[in-house]
Amino acid sequence: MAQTATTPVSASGDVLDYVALLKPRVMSLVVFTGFAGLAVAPGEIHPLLAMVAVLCIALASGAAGAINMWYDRDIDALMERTRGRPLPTGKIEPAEALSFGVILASGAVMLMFLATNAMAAVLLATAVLFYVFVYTMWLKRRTPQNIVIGGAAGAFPPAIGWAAVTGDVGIEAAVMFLLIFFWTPPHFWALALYREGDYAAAGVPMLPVVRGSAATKRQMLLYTLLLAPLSLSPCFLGFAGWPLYGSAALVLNAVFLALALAVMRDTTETSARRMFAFSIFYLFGLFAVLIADNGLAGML
Amino acid sequence: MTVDAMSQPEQNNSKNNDGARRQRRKNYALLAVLLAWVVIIYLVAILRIGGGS
Repeated sequence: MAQTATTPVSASGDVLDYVALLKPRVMSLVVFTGFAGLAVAPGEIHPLLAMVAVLCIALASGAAGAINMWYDRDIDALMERTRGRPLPTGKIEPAEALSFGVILASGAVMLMFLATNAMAAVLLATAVLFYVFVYTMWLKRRTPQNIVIGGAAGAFPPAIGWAAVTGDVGIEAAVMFLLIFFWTPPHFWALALYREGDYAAAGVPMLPVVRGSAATKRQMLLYTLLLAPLSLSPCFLGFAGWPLYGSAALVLNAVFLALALAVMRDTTETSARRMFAFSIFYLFGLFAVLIADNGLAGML
Repeated sequence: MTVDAMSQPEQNNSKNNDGARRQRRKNYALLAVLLAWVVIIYLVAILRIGGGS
């Protein structure tokens, strides 16, 4: 088990500290992609049950974040980016954070099962367990491929949304899963490039720390290149159209690729920061046009 | 010295008040979450029993 680097004097956590445990910024992307899965899935779901399904995805994502913060409290205290979190600052006791996460995750999975179906609940539970046990506890501190394999946890939400409506996982859900899976490495490594010192201080073997920035930049470009044709596959598979989704995906990929090339050439961290910021916009944009395209197709 | 001695209990009081306020906020938040949970389970049950899909 992880050890705390700072000893909390007393747990004086406020409601907002518990909200911070849920990693709300990460949650927003997870919720949005989960909603996209729900929106593009064929079939009908009662709007209230759809809202509950999205709530379950949000709660489970937050719960996984809280358990991650509980386990990583020792390294969080060593990193500038994370040392202000509620556990390293002693605002919340480790046991409280762990129980908060476990209760929330169990509640979310149970509610998902009640509101939708067993497949969606199983996928939700798998995503949480994968994030906690495979990524956080097994891979994160052991291999520079941590976020490549561990990134699968973050790729589950659209498949969960899809399963909530259909009770199944089709090729379309698999494509959305793969989109996030291949997007994660360039997104995370862009951050790791300009936070390399932080990760090195905490002993987390992120790719730039272990292999250096040149190798990381090459890998980022490779994943960005793989992502480009993959992001167009919804058009080839017929669950998105070329005029809206296809053209938007082409533009988003062109910018993402240009930024990956800029990162290759840039010796400062400016391009990496730019790529990280754009990567978030890229995923939001791609799923937003997928939803819009589907809505438009439904109206026509 | 005298001023310090006098301000000590006041500081303790203010700390206790802060702590009590924070605890009260947490209690209210927990109450709201539990009530929301009950309402959601109730609505989901009604919809599912009614054949809502």
